[in-house]
Amino acid sequence: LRAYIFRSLGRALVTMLLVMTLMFVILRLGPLDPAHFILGDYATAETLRNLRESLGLDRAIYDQYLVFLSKMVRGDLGFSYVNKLSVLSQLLDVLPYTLELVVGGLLVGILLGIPPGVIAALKPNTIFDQILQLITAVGISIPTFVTGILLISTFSLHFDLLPAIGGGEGSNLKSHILHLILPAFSCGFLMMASIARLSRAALLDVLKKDYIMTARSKGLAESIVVLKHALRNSLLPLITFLGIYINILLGSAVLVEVIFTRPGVGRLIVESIKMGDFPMVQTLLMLYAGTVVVVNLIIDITYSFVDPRIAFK
Amino acid sequence: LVRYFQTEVHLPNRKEGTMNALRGSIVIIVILGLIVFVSTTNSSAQELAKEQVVVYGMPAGDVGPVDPVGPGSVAVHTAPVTHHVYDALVRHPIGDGSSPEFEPDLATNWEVSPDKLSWTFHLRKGVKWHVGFGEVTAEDIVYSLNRSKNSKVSAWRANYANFKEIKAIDKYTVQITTAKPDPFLLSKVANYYGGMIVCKEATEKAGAFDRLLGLTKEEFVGTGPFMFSEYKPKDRIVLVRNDDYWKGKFIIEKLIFRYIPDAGAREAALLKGELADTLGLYDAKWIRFMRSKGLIVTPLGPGDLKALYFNLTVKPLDDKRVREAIAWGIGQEEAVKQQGEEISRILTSPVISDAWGHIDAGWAKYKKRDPEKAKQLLAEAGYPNGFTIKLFMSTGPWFLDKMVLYQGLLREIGINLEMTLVDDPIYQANVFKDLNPIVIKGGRYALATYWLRYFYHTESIVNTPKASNNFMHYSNPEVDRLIELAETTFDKKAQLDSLAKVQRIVVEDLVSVPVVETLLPDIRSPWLDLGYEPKSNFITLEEIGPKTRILKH
Repeated sequence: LRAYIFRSLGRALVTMLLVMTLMFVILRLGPLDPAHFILGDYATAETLRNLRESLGLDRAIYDQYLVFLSKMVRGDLGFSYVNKLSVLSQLLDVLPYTLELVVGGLLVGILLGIPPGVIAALKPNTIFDQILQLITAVGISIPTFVTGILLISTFSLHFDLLPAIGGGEGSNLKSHILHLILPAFSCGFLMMASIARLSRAALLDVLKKDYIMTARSKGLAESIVVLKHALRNSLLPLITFLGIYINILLGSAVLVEVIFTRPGVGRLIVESIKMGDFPMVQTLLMLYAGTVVVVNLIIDITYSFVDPRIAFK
Repeated sequence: LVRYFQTEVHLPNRKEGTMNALRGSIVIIVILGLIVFVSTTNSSAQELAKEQVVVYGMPAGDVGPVDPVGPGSVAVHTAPVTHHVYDALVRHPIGDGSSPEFEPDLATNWEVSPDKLSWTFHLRKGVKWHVGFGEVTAEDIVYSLNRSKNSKVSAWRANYANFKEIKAIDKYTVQITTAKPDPFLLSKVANYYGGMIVCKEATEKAGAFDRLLGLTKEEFVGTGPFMFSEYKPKDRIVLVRNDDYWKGKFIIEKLIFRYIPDAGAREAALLKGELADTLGLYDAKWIRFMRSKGLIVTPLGPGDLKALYFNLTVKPLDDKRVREAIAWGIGQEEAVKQQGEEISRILTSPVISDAWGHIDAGWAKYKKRDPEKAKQLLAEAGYPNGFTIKLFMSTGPWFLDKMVLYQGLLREIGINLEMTLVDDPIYQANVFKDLNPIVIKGGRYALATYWLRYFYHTESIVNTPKASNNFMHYSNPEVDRLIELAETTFDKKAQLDSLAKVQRIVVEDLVSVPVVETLLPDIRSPWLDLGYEPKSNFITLEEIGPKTRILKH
């Protein structure tokens, strides 16, 4: 297992380095000009040149890259071109909001997805199953941004139950939770539908297996058959899915943060790209890439605990 | 009541008299009751809310540099913030930014020397900087204006190039000497862009003469009615009331600028009462809908002048007949229909109608489109089957809606616009790199000289040392001479004459074609009582005045 983890870590590091280099080059070869954004339409060529010089953007790309790498190694993520604040402090400011959202989305997906899926698998082709199939089909078809807008217009504007925008005031827990409900649902709705379908299919599949029949013929109680034998075995595809889904959730979080105007890493990236704020974009994209790599690693390792038959070769 | 007054008039007997008296008393009681009811409801409507906090919905993702020498001092994402923090020597009257008159601000009065080359400003005594940087003195003014003129990061160096010397005569007197007479000098020392005054001590302490000031309490220091309190990147900026403001403290205690780039989210927040004021959509139907919900929409000046600017070095745009064909092909009325009459004005000249010096120079003749005339002109120019032109186009709604409209209209006359859509910052970068043969651009300058200098003077041609917005490569010595004359003469008549001539020449040469002039659809909640009549300003949203207040709601 240890060797496997080291190999995976090595692969992860190479992936990160590749992502970092690609991003660095693409940003600089692209048409975005941070100096123009910062100084605006009426800046003269001379002032634009001065600013590019002071930001080090006039140097050769490899030269800029070496400076960037040496800073990275020292853990110096730099300062935003636009607001001059440290990249790290800005990231730490908004990271809790994105974590809240991703965890909220996961909870909605898991808690509202697995139980109906299990019930539908135990009672296939009943009216409950049919309704669930219909709801999940709708859930899978509606994009996150549409769900978000529908939730705002229904629960904020029409019924006036929840706030429309923002991420909560200061450290007020109640305000944070109230601001989280709609975004978490719009993130988790798609996931809930997918999980319900997947857990239904996986459980149905397992319930047909010989060992279930054996368990039943041993005279075990149905609850033990389902919970101990069937459910545990049907979890495997779900875990793979959860891994992929955390990555998708991070993507949806960007959209949801924009629609609900929540502070968060996603919004930070979108706005930083628009402003050509290279240090911010570099760090934030690295964070995304890093999260994807780490989540995949964790999923690989989790397999071994759920199903000890999987050997790490 | 109606039936009572409809009763026939006749002399009453005793019984009738009693009845009439009774009726009379009832009517009086009812009327009195009504008066009391109306006055109480009015007084409750006028009651102030417990929290005097104005939340703005900023139509942008984040703030730009909050530095007078940076472009943020004129841009929608930053101007509303800096406007409430910094003061200047003089200021635009609140609610009427387009007015050519200026009010005293940090300067109480001023005079110009007989040779018109020297301006002396007398400062108000006892004005304090935020967060304990002491009193404002002539040294601050000298430092600040010198920074606008000389800082390596000043976006406005060209505007202050004519300031030969800025010096402190004594602690409360500043003298500005210009190389050439400048009749518009007050607009450069007003509370807009480089005229806003920064604190010398704070800026020097931060070592920020040649870099832009940051968003911290130590660097973002002014003398205005509000001072910096908190910044959460891509989320909000909070300003709190300056209780020591020299004009006396305002009623509003706090300003929160929330950055909400998505128009739908701003609309939802406004309808929910989470915002006091924001920028609306340029759409007549939307404005009607919001009004039906009880919100107040104010078309704010100065108008945003949009036009198409043609690169005259690119074929076939170098042919005036082709440009005229485009003007007839699009017609200004089409854009007006798209965004609604209430916020639109037909352009009559290449400078906005609010600008001092604006005349009707003939652009209005392209009001109604005439496809037949357009086709005929194209045929005369040798393009009977039209042509295709490739350009980058911003996905920013303020340009894209017009260009998609024009793509359809121009196709009718055989001109095919092949547009590659890019994000707005990339579009802006590309047009200044001279990559677009046709540029659509807007602007809200209230001075004719600025418009003409930035768009039509030879020195402003893109990709040149003093480049500005002359995307056309237009170079006309007579135009240059007249602009320079208008910029330097104190003779009002000569000034107006030369401005008028330039506008006529530019329209005659047709190097640019009118799109439309648009007022900003500012939208606010009915409980935000501004305390003044909003007509125009440069900050895109409503200004906060001394009498502005939040009513109970």
